[in-house]
Amino acid sequence: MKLFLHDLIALIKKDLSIEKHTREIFLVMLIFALSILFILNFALDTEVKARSSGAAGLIWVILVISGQLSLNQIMNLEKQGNMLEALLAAPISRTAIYFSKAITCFLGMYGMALVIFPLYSIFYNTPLNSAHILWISALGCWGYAALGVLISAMTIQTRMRDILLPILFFPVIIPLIVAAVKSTGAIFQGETIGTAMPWISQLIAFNVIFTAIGMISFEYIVEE
Amino acid sequence: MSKTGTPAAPLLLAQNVQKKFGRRKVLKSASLQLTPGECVILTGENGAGKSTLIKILAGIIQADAADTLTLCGEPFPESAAQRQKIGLVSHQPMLYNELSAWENLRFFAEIYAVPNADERIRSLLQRIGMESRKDDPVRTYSRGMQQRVSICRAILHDPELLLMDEPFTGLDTKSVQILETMIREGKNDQKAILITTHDPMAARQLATRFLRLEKGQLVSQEFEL
Amino acid sequence: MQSLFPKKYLLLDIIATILILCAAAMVFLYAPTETNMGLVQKVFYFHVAYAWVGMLSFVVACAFSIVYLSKKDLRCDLASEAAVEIGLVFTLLAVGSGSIWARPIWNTWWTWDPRLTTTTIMALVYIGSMFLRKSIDDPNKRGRILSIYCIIGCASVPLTFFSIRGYRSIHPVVIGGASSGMNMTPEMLQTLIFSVIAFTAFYLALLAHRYTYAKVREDVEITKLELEDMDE
Repeated sequence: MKLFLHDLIALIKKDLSIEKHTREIFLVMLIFALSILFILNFALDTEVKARSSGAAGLIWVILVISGQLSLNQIMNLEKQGNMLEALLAAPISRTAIYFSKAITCFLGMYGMALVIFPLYSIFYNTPLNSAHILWISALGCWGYAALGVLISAMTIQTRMRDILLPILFFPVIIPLIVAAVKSTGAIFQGETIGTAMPWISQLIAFNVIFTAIGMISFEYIVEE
Repeated sequence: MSKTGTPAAPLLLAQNVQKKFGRRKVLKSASLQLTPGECVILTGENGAGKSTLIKILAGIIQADAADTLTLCGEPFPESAAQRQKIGLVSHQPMLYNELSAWENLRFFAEIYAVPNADERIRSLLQRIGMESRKDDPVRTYSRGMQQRVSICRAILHDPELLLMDEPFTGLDTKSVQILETMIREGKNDQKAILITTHDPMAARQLATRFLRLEKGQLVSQEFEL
Repeated sequence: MQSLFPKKYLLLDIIATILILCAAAMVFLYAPTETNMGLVQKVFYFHVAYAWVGMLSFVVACAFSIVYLSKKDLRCDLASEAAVEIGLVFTLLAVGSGSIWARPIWNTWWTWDPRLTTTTIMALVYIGSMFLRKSIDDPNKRGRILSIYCIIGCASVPLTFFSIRGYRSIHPVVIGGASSGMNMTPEMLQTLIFSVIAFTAFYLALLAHRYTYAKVREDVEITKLELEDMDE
């Protein structure tokens, strides 16, 4: 277990230092998200009511679409120069590789969520209401990363690569996004944690399911 | 079987390794035995399955079937601990382009749990003459320099078994010299080395034995030296 | 010329044809015309059967995928390929026939009902997996990746239904609902059940044909390779 954590931290540190040099993943994703946020302004120009009642849905759409950019980058990193083979040949478990990728992706997604939620609130004058958003959005981001990294590990091995990712990923991530939108939406509407609990527990259950699928099947996908 | 490394005890023992690649059976029945201090050169035509065999031994891909596959008398390569004893040089550098040589080696030292990593990396970089450029990103290096760093990566953790897949491809004279010195040292240190190449003349003075991969089987081959 | 199609499947073909003809006869001759909806209600007997086969095929593909991963037998991947393709056709037919029925009854082609939405998302997963299949050449890698995707899809689609089931629904609950949205006479119910059985038989026959096609294609590839090896 201690070894597993040690490898995991080394792998994540490596991803972060690559990001520190290139700033290709997080910054690109964030700028993309900001552009969508501004485009929304034109779509919602006259619909003052839609801005607040649809806030949760719109924010998650932004996160889902921008997050896909980082998913491509994070796995491509290992495909370039056959780094995945170097990692497979190293004395680390495949599960550690999977989790390192999922955690890197999660950090990016969550970082973006931490920027987009307050910005949306400022731009469109929608109160965030409660600090519970912090951990509920973290749950949504984790599920997204856990399944996204897995699908991305599939698509980098195909001929169509980046184009294929959204086609494969979006239909299967829908339940998680629905639960995330419903939970955050409930908080936005000023509901208490108690009344939003059915949605939140669903979100947690989906997280557990997707993480389990990822953990078990990553090995089958990367190994020939 | 003991780990003491008596010359007779095989370090690596692979019997009847089979692998289908797609519909084609690349390895039909490959058997191989390496004892410490040996340097075996494996030749064969393109697509004969040399790289596949190396990848199976390195634990990157799984064999479909194998009667025996042991390293130091213990089964591998499913076990992560056993992979610790293997070093791999491929024709691709297998380094992160955006990181410097130092950062790359630091990362691999971390996951291979190399003791006194900083010192070891420094001395290796000195030997390959890359001290001054250790902080530049790998993508700015020449092909030869990348490959030299790649060799450092492979021997960083002092492996018992060194697998090299076409290591001489695209190397400059200086890099070839460094590579040959390292192979010679490995032989003296009782390591086992397996090198694949399409050009058996490349390192023939280093080899103790020649093998040829033909129709999915390994056959030994003699060369006039 | 020797037929590549195994004889035992021929029996299945004959049974399926007879059953389908009988089902059609029952729908148009035996079952009474519904008083409120009129003739358009007849679509329902096919619609339910299509939707059933679409879902069944999804589960079949998933089952073959699991077997493939544990046994690494390429034939399972071929069967899964067949199931996905046929399943997609039936799922689209179900959505299409549902629309035809919904237009006069609900006064709209489309509604965001959980069943409709889930079925269409299922079709999207099918389409995605067909793209995925097309873009991988190595049969082993293809089998592995496709199997995993099939299993993910099979886990995710019911979750989708589960997560959106709370939404307002106007879809009639035919099976398993306490209060039936549609008042069915015994004749109607018999017709429905018979139609579902007939289409299941039809599906199995189709699956056998599609699988045989995939198998023959695979055998040709293998023979080509063998000939190539002999030339050397």
